[in-house]
Amino acid sequence: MIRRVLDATGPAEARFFLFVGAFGLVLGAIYWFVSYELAGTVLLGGFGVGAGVLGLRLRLERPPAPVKSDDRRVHAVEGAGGAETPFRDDSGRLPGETLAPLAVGLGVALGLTAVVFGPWLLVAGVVPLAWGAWTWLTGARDELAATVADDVPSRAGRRGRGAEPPATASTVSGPGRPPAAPRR
Amino acid sequence: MTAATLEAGRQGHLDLLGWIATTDHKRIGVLYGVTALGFFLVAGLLALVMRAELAVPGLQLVGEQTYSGLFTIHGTAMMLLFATPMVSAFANFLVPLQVGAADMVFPRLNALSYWLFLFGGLVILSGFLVASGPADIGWTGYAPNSTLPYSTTTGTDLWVVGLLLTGVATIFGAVNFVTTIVTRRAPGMGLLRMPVFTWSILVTSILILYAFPAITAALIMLLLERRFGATFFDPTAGGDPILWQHLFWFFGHPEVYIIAIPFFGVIGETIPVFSRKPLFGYKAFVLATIFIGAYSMTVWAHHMFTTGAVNLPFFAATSFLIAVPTGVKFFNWTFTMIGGRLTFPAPMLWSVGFLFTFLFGGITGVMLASPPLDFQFQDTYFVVAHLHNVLVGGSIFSMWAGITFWFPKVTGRRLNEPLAKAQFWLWTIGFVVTFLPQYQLGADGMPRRYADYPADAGWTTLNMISTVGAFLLALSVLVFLIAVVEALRRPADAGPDPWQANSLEWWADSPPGHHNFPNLPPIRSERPVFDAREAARAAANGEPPAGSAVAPAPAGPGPVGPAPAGGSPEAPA
Ligand code: HEM
Ligand SMILES: [Cu+2]
Repeated sequence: MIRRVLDATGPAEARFFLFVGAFGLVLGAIYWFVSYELAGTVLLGGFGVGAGVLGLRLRLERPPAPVKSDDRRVHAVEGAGGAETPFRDDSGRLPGETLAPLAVGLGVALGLTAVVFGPWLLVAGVVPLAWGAWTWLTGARDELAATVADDVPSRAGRRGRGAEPPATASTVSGPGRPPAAPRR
Repeated sequence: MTAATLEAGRQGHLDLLGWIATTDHKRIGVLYGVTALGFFLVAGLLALVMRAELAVPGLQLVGEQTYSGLFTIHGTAMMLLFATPMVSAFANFLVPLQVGAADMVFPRLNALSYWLFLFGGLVILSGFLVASGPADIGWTGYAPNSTLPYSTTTGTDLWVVGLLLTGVATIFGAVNFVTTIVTRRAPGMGLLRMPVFTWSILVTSILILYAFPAITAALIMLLLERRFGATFFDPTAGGDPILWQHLFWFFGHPEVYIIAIPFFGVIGETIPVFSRKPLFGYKAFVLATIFIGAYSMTVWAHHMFTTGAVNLPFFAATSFLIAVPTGVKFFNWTFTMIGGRLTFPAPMLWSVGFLFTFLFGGITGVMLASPPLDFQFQDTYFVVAHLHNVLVGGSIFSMWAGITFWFPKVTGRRLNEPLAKAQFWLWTIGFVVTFLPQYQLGADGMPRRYADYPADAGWTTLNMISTVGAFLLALSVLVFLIAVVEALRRPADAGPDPWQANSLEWWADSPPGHHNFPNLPPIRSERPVFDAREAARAAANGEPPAGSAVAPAPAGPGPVGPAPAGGSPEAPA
C-alpha cells in the first residue's frame, strides 16, 4: 500500500528520502516501546523527521526545465530517450581559485583552540575569519551577478533585444568560455 | 582542448598557490587523499611503537601513560583522520565525474571542509607537543574517564576541539555530496543508472548527516564539562555517563559503516570491470546498500550490552539482521565473477583479497553480536583482532583496490604492476600474521589497552609473531610509496580508459580537464562508457547501430551511433 502511494507520483529522489524518513520514524516508535529510553528515541525520531522533510521538499519541486539544444550535454539527452532526468541543473559555472575557505578554516580552528589555550587565540582567529568571510561573500555575490547577467541576455535575445556580454564574467567561467585563467 | 592544454601547461612545476586556493573537486579530492595518507603514516607509526612495546613482556619503550596516548591517537587518527577522510577523497574526486557534472554544488564549502579537516587533525596530533601529553581516553572517550577529574592532560581538550573541527568538516562534505548527487546528475542518469560507488556515497552521506551531529553534540557537552564546569556525564556530580555511551555509539557504529559502505561500492566497481561482466544484480546491490545503511542506525547499543542498561533482544536482533544485506552483496560480487573473463591486475587482487578477509571478519562480528560471547570477549584482544579484521580487511583492502584502480585516472599513469603486486602480497601476509594471533590471545584472556603482560602468561610467542606482522605491513606501505614515486616520474600516457571500464569518469581525460567533460556519451544504462565502446565497435564492424543490442532500448528512437568525436576514449582529441 505504502509502496503504491510512494510509487504513484513524484521523482525517485523524493520517494527515496520519504522512505528513509518513514524508516526512521517507525524505528523510533518501536525503539521507544521496547526501551522507554529517551536519547535514542529522540535521535531516531529526529532523523526520520529530517529525511521526511527533505523528501516532501523534493516532492514539491517543479519538474526540471528542458535542456537547451546548445547544451554541451545534448548527446546525453538524446540517448536517454526521455528517461527520468535529474533536478534542475545550472552547473557549468565554477568559482575561480580563492583563498577564502582556507582563511575561514584557519580562523575557526584558531578561535576554537582558544577554549584550550586562552582568549588570545580568539583574537588571532578573528582576522583570517573576517577576511575570509568577506572575500567569500563578495566572490559569491559577483558570481551570482554574472550568472544573472548571463541568463538575461539569452532570454532577452529571443525577444529581439541585444545581448551584452556580462560585465563580471571574468570571475567565473561557463561552458561556452574557456576556464578562468589560473592566477599565479 | 583548452582544459587539457591548460592542465599540460601546469604540469611542469608544482603549482602551490593553485593547490591551496583550489575549489576544483578533483584537486580537493587529491588533497584529501594525500593528507589522509599522511595521517595514516603517523597512526601507523604509533601502531609500530605499540607493537614493538608488546613484542616481549616488560616495559621497554613506553610506560602505561604514554601507551594510553598511543592507542588513543592511533585509534582516533585511523578512524577519523584517515579512513573517513579517505572516503571524502574518493567521493570528491569521483562523484562529480561519475554523475557527469562539472564540479560539486558548493565548491568553496568543499574547500572549507578540507581545511577544517586538516586543521582539526593537526590540533589532535598537537597533543604530543604539550607538556601533559596527548589524549589518553581511548578513541571512544568514555565518560567519566574523559571528564576532568580523571583525564587531566591538555591533549584531551585538544582531542575534543580537533574532533569538533573534523566532525563539522565531515558534515559539510556530506551536504555537498547529497546535493551534488540529487541535483547535478547528467540528463539520462536516473537514480537506478547511477554507478554503485556513487550510490554508496549517497547512503554514506545520509548516514553522516545522521551520525555526526550526535558526536558533535556529545563533544560540545564534554568540552563544556571540562572547561566550563557543566556536568553532563560525571555521576558524582549528578551526570549520566551512559548518555555519553549512547551518543558516542549512536555515531560510532554508523561510523564503522561510513568507512565500509563506500569501499563496498569500490568493490562493486572493480569486480565487474575485471570480470568483463555487468554487476550481477545491480538493483539488489543498491537495495542492500540502502538497507545496510538503515540497519546500521539501529544497532548502536550492541556496544553497550555489558552496561546492562540496554534492551538486549532489540539490539541483538537488529545486529544479526544486518548480516542479510551484507550477504546479498557477497552474492553480487561472487556471481559477477562466476563465468566472467577474469583478469588479476593489482586492483582485482585487492578486491578478491577483500572478499576473503571481510568474510572472515564478518563471521567473527556475528559472534560478537551475540550477547553471551560478547560478555566473555569484552575488552580482550579478541575485540582488537575483530575490529582490525573488519577495518583493515574490509575497508583498507578495498581502499587499496580503489587507489590502484583510479590511480591512472587521477595521475594519468598506471602503477608499476610488479611493485603493486608485491605490495599486495606483503600486505596480505602481514595482515594475517599481525591479526590472526590476536584472536588466540583474546581467547586466552589477554586484555586490551595495556602496555605490558606477565611473562608467565604464555602470550609471548604470539605477541612476537603479531609484531613481526606489523612490520611487514609497514614494508608493504613503503613499497606502495616507491611505486607512486616511480609512476610519477613517467609521462602521463595511460589514456582515458586504461581498464576498459564502465562508468562516466573513464570518459574524461586522465587526468580530467578543469571542466571534466567536453561532452558526454548517451546514458542508457549504468554502464554508459561500456555502451559507447560497444557502439563504436559495432559501427567500426559495419554492424547496424546497435543501441538495442547492447542496452535496453530507449523509449524513443534516439540517434545512436559512434560516440561523438573528441569524447571517445579510443580517440581522444
Ligand atoms: C595497519 C596496521 C595496524 C596495526 C599494526 C595496528 C595496531 C594496533 C594496536 C597495537 C592497537 C592497541 C591495542 C590495545 O592495546 O588495545 C590498536 C588499536 C586500535 N586500532 Fe589499530 N592497527 C593498525 C591499523 C588500524 C586501522 C587501519 C584502523 C582503523 C581504520 C585501526 C583502528 C584501531 C582502533 C579503533 C583501535 C582501538 C583504540 C582504542 O583502544 O581506543 N587500526 N591498533
Ligand atoms: Cu557496532
